[in-house]
Amino acid sequence: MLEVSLQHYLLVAALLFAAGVGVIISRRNAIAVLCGVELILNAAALNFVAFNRYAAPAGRLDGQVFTIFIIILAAAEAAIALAILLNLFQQTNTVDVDEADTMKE
Amino acid sequence: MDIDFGTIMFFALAIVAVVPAFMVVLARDIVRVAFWLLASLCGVAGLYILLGADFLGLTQVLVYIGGILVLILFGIMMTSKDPLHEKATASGKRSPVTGLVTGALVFAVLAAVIVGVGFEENKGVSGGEPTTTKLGEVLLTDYVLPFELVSVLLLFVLCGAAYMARRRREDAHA
Amino acid sequence: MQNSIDTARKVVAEGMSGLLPELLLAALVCVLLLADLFLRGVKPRATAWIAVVGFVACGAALVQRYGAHAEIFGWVQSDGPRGMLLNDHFAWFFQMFVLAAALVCVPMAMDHAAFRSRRMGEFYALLAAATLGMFLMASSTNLLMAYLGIEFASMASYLATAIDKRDRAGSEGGLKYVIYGSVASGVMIYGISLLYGMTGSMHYGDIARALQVHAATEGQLMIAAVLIFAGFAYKMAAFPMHFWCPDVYQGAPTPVTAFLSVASKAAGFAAFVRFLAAFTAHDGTFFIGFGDEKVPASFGWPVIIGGAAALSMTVGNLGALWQTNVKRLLAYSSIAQAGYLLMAVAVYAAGKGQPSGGDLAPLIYYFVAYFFMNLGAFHVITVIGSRTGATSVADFAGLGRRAPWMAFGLGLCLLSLLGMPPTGGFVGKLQLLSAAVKHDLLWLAILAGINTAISAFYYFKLLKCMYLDRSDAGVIRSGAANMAVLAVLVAPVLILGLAFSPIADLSRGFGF
Repeated sequence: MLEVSLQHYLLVAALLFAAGVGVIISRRNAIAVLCGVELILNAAALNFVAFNRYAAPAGRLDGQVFTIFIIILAAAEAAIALAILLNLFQQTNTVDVDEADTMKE
Repeated sequence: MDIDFGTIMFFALAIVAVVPAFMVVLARDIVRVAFWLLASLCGVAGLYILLGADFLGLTQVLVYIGGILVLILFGIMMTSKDPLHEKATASGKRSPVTGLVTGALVFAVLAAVIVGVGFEENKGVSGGEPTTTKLGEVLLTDYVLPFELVSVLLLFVLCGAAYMARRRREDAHA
Repeated sequence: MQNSIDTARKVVAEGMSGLLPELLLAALVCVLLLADLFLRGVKPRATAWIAVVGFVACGAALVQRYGAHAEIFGWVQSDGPRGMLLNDHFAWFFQMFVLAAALVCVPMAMDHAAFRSRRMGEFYALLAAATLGMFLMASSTNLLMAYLGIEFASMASYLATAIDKRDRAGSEGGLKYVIYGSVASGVMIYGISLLYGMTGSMHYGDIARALQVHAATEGQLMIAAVLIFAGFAYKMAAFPMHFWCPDVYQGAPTPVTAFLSVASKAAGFAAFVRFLAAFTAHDGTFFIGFGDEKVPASFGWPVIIGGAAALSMTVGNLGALWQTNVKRLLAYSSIAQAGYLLMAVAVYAAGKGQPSGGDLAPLIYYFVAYFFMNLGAFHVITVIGSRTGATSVADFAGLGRRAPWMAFGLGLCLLSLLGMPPTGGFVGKLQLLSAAVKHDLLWLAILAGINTAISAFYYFKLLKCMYLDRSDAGVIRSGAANMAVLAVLVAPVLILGLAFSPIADLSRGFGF
């Protein structure tokens, strides 16, 4: 009988990480890239919670605390990215990371 | 059958987390990307609860799904002329195949480490009891410094983002 | 329960007494945000002066802390404290460095064309917040703290880059910075989570102890290390996470560029060296192949970091050759400088494997020189840029006649960045090269030599433009205050090149 172990959770997290990398590589829309980053952050957070459950010293919650900070910082980062994006959009009407690229000469 | 409830729940939630994650790579347009992300985040929230992290599961729903994802949807609404079509750009169309191939490579490397080598487990520790009290205590004792600092961070990020997204006065008058 | 809370109360009380500079910076952030609301109608420069007063007060508190060695906050276990921050000489040096850079950036921002005659309270608040984040990076001794410090500094930098809302280049730079930055930090925390899984802790001391008892294998450590390095490399603007650098440096307002290229880089190096010290074994190796047989590794951190160093220099210098925008040129130059500085870290890692122990003195000395030469160069570019709108190399034609002192200052800084005598950059680079040769990194020293020769092309291109190309444009008046800042920044470039031994002696005191 199959018992769910640490490894299963780590594999799920690795799949999320891989999907996140795939999104970042393949998408050009800045908001979509941000969604890819959220997948990566969730992969890391899932790792932390799973390690906290299965591999950390008994009674400590370091992994879960780290996850709380990941969620807080992800919210802050998304707010900044969207604020800058909105400002750029008001100037240029584009959210495409390739089109927002006028500086190279 | 010898399969217990926890195992079934794990596989159900894992599918809810992973399949939408790959749909984020494949989805046609930016609105669908956001909604597939929503599904994936719900799956992860379920996995947290399965892992005994009840507080985190709820935080995930409240902050991630209720906050960040709504923020992303607002961003899409305010910046897309035609959100249902991601248009081709000078550098070529988006390339889901490249994304999938890269993702597969990354996963292969990680899986080799996770399955091939494995991580040490100390069996039968923590889990079961509610974590909220314990987390609150830890945040105000061991982790009090980062906890207080992150409030300073949120303060200036809030002000900075508001400053950045606010319409310029000269525009408003014009 | 009551007992543990009492212990925690004691830890916090002890920690607060060692936290005054950070508290002052946090207060400065709040004061500046409020001042911006209440000082409407008052002189636009009032917020800048508040920032100066705040930074000086923080500096005084930091001077008070000199010589401290305390691990503060966190928790206590039976075998010692598990702190969040470690205030020691190493942290002190980098905190002083970052604070001085922030202080120098205030007059630059006051002079910057787009900022002049505006209150810019948000900008100075962000500058203070970034400084606070970099303070945390320099003293963090826990991965959570290091990550929080990096994010703290990054988020303030993202906003500062895009602060000029009318400037399209700034918004573009800001967007790239935040998008690539969140990718880098996401990759980094995935690496941190793997390391946490191997060692069960995020405290550097615990990680070092766990790795010493073979808690992990080669493959796991390799993956975790590469992912975590990506996050640090982003802050250092080093290969392989350097690609954001040209666009951000070009797009950001010049004072912000100056701050990022000096303070942000220094804080990235400080955080990385702290992390590295926990990660390397006593013999400097990468914990490879210990298993049952404890085979000494043939391939470790020195080679990995050395490789990143070599690629950074090469990518930076080759990229700079074709640039016509001055800020973009200095961005590539700063990638190359990150390569030289990483070389010092590789030397440190190699030294850890030898009985003499790691030597951080060449890194510290090069950073002192880098502070003055890079800030000096950006100061001149700000002053000239806000008076003439100059952005490209050709705009600097005839500067030797139009603004002789400014041209002299920039020229000296460029020679120092190149590594010519009699400047601080020369002495710094000489120390780096000799240390690299001493620690069996001859190949790296040779590559650095070749790179220096390549970099001569573009540094001399700018010099030639300033002194040999003719221009009919009129004389530029720089103002007494700007001249004073120039003197403060450029004189040490010469002093560091001529009277170097006292500073070299001092730099030995700032290791671990």
